[in-house]
Amino acid sequence: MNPYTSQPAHAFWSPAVAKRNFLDIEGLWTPKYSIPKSRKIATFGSCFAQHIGRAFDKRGYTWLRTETAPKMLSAENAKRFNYGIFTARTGNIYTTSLLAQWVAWALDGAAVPDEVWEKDGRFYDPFRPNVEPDGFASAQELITSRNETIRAFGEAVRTADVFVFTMGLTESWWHRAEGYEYPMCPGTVAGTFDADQHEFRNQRFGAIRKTLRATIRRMRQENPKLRFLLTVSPVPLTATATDNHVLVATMESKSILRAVAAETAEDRSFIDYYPSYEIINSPVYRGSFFEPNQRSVNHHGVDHVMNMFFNCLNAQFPAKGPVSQDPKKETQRAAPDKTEALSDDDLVCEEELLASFGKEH
Amino acid sequence: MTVSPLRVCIIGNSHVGALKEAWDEIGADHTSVEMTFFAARGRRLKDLVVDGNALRAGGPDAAGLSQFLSFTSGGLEQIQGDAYDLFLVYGWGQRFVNLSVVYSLAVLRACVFQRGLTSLQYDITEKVRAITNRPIFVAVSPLLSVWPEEGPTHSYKTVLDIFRDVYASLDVHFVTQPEETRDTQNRTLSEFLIGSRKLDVGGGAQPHGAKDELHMNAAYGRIWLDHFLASLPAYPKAASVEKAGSV
Repeated sequence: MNPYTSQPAHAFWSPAVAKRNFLDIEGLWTPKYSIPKSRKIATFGSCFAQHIGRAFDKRGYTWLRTETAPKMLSAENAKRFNYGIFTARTGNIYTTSLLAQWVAWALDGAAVPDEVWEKDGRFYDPFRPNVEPDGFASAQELITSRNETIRAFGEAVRTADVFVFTMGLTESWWHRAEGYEYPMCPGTVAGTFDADQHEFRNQRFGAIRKTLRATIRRMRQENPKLRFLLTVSPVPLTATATDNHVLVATMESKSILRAVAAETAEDRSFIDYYPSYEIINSPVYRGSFFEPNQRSVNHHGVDHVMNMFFNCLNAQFPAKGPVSQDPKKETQRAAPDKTEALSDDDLVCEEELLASFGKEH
Repeated sequence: MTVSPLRVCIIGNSHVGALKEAWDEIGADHTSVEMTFFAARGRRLKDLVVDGNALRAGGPDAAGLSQFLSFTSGGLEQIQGDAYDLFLVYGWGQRFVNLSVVYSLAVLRACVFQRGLTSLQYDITEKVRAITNRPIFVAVSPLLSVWPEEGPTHSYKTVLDIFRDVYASLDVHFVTQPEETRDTQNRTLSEFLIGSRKLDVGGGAQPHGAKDELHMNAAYGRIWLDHFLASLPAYPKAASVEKAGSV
């Protein structure tokens, strides 16, 4: 008799993995809490988080959107203007420190930097550089729009039941003197890079964990019922600002984020972790969920990740009444969403723009 | 010397009712203007078809539509392109876009273009342009009297300027709603709802219900027509038409 004899089959590599077709591997996640369809789910974070909100919506869950496009705007235009991508129009929130920054603005009334990037007579938001595809008409218009997003982000924190956050990067860019963070390096999408003013920080495990915990604590002060679902983006870095090879930088970055997620979720009943990162990146899946560039996740990967999610959720917390396994049927019951018609591989990923600003290779 | 009247053709939906009622009251004071109305409720005029230099009734109920045209115009079943000096296309679902300023001008522009280009009003204006090279004036439906929108919205002028852009390729003149009929929140003053009546298409002009917040009364129509007629000399084409007509 030893501790392994009482372990379930999924604890053993051979029956759980080696003797199965990789598409038949199941039970990768044991959810800590149920998510009934009536619960309001907010989604923010890195590019991959965009799939999660959409998947909830398709299956009839209550994907919370606190900043919506005008009803008369087409789905195509709504996406072009970054509505319906996340719960509010924050653009990608790649790091836990960026999440903390949004929380400080929305919940604590922290001063929002007045920095605005101007390019060819148009104005770009340093904190949401890609939400308005051709920039804003004026600095005032930009500030009005950003204030609305801050309001909407605050509403999301205050009213959501579940807050899904996908961690994407450890590498980050900061204003050296003022101490605020940019989601994108100045000088890429817009703005001007100034080595004296702008500082690169590759955040370490301890700092990220501390920031995430403090941020979650603050959010729960505001909304004590709020639960968290953490994921790590499986999407490799487009570029690194470190001296490392981008492949090594990617593995380091994702490993740190994965460890932070584990430590943060480990002993807290209200924080869960979903292994989308493992599903896409494990060698077991032989890279088959990536596009030929070995970076973008293909729709088979997204489908597999999200089907696994709902299968595990339903296995652990069976829904009352019949449960359809067909997302299309569920879609018919879901609230109409303008982004529904969008292709899953049609993500808004600002970080990909970095590739456009590197050297020609 | 005989002065030929300016021949104005008004094509529209139920909102034309307010103009028609007003014209019945004030027309005698405007002997230099001759107005002909072609109207039907809702979207009935969507079945107008271009036939040479005229618009005539088409679609599955062409006979019914012909009756509407005939009744509202006083016996004409076709809109002849060369029978009028200018045209006014009025109403339909071409509503003003009252959008909060939290939405950017670019988003507003996308909304207005989307609404404008897919509207029945645009479609009919295109058909009118197909039968005439003469001036065409376009006016959106009256502003609602009640808006659910909270907080500041984009200005009336901003939105109308975008509507002008929408119609730019059709070479039309855009007519704005008289200032004294609207408030600073882009709403029609509610006093103009009182006593509004349905477009008479043969059964009499019945009153709109008390809950109607869309249709305006004859007082509104009078103010609107006064502004419209007063503005005509400001448009070169209309002015030249007026001048030619007075020879």
